[in-house]
Amino acid sequence: MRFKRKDKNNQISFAPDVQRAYYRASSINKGAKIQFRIGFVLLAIPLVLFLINIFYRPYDTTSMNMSERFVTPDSKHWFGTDNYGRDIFTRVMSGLPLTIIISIGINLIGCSSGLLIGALSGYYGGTVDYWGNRISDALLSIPAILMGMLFVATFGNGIWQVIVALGIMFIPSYMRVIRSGFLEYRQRNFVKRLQLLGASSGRIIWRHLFPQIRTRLMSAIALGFANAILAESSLSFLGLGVPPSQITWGRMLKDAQGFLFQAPWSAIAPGLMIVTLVLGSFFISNGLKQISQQRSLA
Amino acid sequence: MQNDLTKSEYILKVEHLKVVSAQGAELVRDVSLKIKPGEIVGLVGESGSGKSISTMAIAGILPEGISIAQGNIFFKGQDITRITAQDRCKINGNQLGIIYQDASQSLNPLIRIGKQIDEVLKIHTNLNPKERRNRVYGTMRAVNLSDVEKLAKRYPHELSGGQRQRVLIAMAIINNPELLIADEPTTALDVSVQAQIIELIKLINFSRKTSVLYISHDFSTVKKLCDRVYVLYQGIPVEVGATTQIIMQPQHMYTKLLLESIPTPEKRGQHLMIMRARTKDYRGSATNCLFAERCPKVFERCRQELPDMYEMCDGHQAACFLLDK
Amino acid sequence: MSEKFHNILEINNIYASYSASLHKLEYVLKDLSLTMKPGECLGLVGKSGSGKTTLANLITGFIKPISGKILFRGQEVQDLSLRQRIRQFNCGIQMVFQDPYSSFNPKMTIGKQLMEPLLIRKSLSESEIETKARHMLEQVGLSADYFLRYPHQLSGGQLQRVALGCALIVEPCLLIADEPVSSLDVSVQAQVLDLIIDLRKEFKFSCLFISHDLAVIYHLCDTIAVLNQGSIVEQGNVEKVFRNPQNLYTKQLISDAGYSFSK
Repeated sequence: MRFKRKDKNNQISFAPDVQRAYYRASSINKGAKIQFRIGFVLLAIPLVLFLINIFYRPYDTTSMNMSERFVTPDSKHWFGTDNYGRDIFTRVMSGLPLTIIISIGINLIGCSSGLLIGALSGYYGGTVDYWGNRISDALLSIPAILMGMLFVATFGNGIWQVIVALGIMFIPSYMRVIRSGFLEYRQRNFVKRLQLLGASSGRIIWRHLFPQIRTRLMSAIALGFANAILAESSLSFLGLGVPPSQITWGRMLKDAQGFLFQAPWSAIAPGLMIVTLVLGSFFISNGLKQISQQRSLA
Repeated sequence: MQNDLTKSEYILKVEHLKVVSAQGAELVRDVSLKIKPGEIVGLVGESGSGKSISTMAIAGILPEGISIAQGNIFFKGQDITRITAQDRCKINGNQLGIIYQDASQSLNPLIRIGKQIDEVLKIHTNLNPKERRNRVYGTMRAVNLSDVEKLAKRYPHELSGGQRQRVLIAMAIINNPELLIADEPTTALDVSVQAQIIELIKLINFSRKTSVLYISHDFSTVKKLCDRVYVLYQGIPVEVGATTQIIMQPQHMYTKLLLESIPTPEKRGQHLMIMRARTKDYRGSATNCLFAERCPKVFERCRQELPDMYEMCDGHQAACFLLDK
Repeated sequence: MSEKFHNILEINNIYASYSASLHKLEYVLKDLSLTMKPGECLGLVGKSGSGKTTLANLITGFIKPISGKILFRGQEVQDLSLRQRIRQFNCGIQMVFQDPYSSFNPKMTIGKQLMEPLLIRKSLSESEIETKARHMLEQVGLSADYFLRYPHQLSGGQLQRVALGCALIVEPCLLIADEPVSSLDVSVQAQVLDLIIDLRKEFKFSCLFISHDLAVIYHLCDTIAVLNQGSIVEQGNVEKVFRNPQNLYTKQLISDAGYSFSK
């Protein structure tokens, strides 16, 4: 992303505030760019592995080989094998899609509900805001693990249960971001002006206020994406996540915990993948945040 | 006027000051100004004229990324253009008092008024607490605050806008500074309070012999207060002279048109603006008269050269080729 | 509409307050009465905190009075909500604000924002709206290439022009201008004042001009109302009030502003 600082004739924009923002823009911009690059490289690693996985797998993901249990990493098995003699590298490669689908699902639920509650709270204020905040407080007071257990206990082990349980837990964080953005902009005069022109609340919210917080929301989504991967891993690690037949990195970690001292590599590989993906999302989120801060200055 | 050997003839002397941003935009292009002891000098200009940046440079509080590229600032004969922060602390608040535009943002909202004024004394003097308290109350009375003992125990938000501005003035003058810089002290205030603050600055100037550098975009307050006026346009002073000279007989077209754009009873309901609107904000280095694009009497030379200051009479100068005879 | 009315705006004994509890009422406006004739430009002067903006919010309908009557075009509107008023008078009251930078959506082009009022109404086709918006841009004295610019690329004065255009494009009968020139430079202020004078001739709207600057009021307005501590202390023809103020507060205000008439 590039920001124009000067026109051809060395002119800068009029408003002093805007000017100041432009002076700062260059330094912020550089930081944001570097963060983006690091983020994309980190995200690319698991993605490339997954793409290779579609066309070529060195071993089968599920077939067991009792003669090759707990093989230490070597040229044949890059990340070694687990207790059933399955190649961990293959499993890590194929574990990506489900991990990502779950993460996207969680954020879809969290973001859409958070957007609804946050937008209404921020725009209307007063009683609506009060109840919006109470909902988010209530959700914040429930530990994610408890929620996971609740869903598993009522609906059994499954991908959907994980997505819905964690999705609900993600609502408050989105709601806060969106509400604060709406609060900030709703007091601007242009909202008053539009109200005087008879614009419906929906129009003001979607056409005028939502675009203001779009970058902020993107940054929150990138962060939420990373958090969702972590949350899913921890749920799976506790055995509340996806069923054993499915491969996610969290599930792999859980399987590895029984023989952590015998074969530490079985935990390291999925752990590293999670770290790469989470770090990548974090960096992208940070870059977006810097851009949105810089924009709000202007 | 020839170069003065007696250094302290001017309390403040700024020579060819040029302030640039990190990107190379020229915020102040070439400002020279002199203030004699006891004089009230006005610095008038519209937003973007560099009047605030010039004062920040004088007070040594330029924002990050903006720096002095050229020129010197002499305060009582001493070059303060590039002095250390420690030396700067000895000058600011002691010999140099500053009043900012927005009083509500210049006071710490969590500290009582009395303590905030007292802090200036604490830093710059060795007085004991009792002497300090007396002096705080004395100064507060001097700026026409009433019931000072009670007021000193209040917090900034409990005061009115005018009172807050007075507190700021008290903080600026408590050490009897030789120069008082007032950066648009009246813009945020109501008309009647404005008039009172102007009277107060006048009184301080008279009773304490403090020189004042008054920055404003408002000719009506400048007219009431200042002895001499510098009119700034895009970082260059275009006209200098005694206030009456400038108001009654402006020489530079910019000053003329600016004065005409002020609503007066005679022009009721008529159009005020003859001056062309500013279309762009040029921040490169000046090679020609910067006002040329808006000037109704522009001619060829204006587009080619940068005009010098031409003296009319008795210190009244203007940077316009029309005066070059 | 053909209803008959003598005053475009009539405010009778209005009380207004921001505090919610009825036990500790602090009135921002106390027993305020004001009348405005059609086509008139009324200047409202007062200190900061005297309730000028509250009065504007009351007329537009952002807040409701505790008691008293507001008649707009001969109809009582004090109990109508903002939306009801807009529907009944077809955007009859529009406002221009002090801070031009916050009056615009920073992520939308000037042209789109000029079209927005008519798009909301849905009475015209999109191409008609665009020609109207372009025409309005011309009328407020900006060239056509501003149509595609974003608000941060315009100066305060230019934005204030667009704000006037945005308000007048729906042809309101009352324009409330809340300190529209207070944050502008002298020369820019002059341009905007000139524009208001031109636009008044062209659109023939009534104007409630709120300001603390008496010079501007005298320049622009036909009548003046002086607001002090929540009530109108003097109202009348500008020249009469300036030459011969009756109220003590008005006298003080005019002398502070340095207005003296030799005649």
